[in-house]
Amino acid sequence: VKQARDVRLWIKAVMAYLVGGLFSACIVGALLAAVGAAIKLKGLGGQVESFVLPALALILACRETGWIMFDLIERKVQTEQVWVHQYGVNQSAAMWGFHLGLGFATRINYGGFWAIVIAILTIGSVSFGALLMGAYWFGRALSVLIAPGLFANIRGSSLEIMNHTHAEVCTFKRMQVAGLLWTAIVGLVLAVSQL
Amino acid sequence: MSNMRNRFASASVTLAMFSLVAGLVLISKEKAAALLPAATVFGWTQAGGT
Repeated sequence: VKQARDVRLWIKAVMAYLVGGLFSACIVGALLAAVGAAIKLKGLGGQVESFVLPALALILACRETGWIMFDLIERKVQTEQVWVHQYGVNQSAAMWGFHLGLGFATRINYGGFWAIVIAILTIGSVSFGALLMGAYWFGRALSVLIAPGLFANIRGSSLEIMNHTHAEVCTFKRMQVAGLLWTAIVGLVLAVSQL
Repeated sequence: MSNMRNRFASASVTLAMFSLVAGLVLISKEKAAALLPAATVFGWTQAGGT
């Protein structure tokens, strides 16, 4: 009975987290695209603007490889862990999702997020902006979704598991570089097709 | 714990491979849509590194 109750609680909390994050991510994506469209309407940018995405994606890829070093623009804060004591599991899960889904409100570890922001701004489509930021949120929430399967039969405290997950920095950096190079290629294809 | 690391690395590589295939398929249909798998990969790595 307790296990069934735990599973129900987990499903509710994960759904609240997913929906909360998807909501804020889509709003942020749509707003960014609206800003991008407004910039285009004012006639700023033009053809040069099309090449901003591939150029920036390449610079960010070089940053992830360590060839160049600079700090990303970010708020150096994490989401509020105390919410769970104040609002309970389900409500705090929704609030964590909403807070993290905003993207800009918490730490940004890798340059990929900024590549997405630039892509949304330069493409300037509200629906695509919401979709792209939603896809980013889906990837971010994926670890929560598959965690029970991934960490099944693993002994150790949650802190130990987290520490070992953090030790995967090299894997994450490689994935970022691959994603940024892909973004640069797609950005270049888009830019050339607009010439 | 090495077991856990292997599983996490395997999940990451699986996601990366799936994203690459999805990206290649999408770029042939709608160019901008090919950015969607990359966005998912960026989100996954952000979650792991947070």
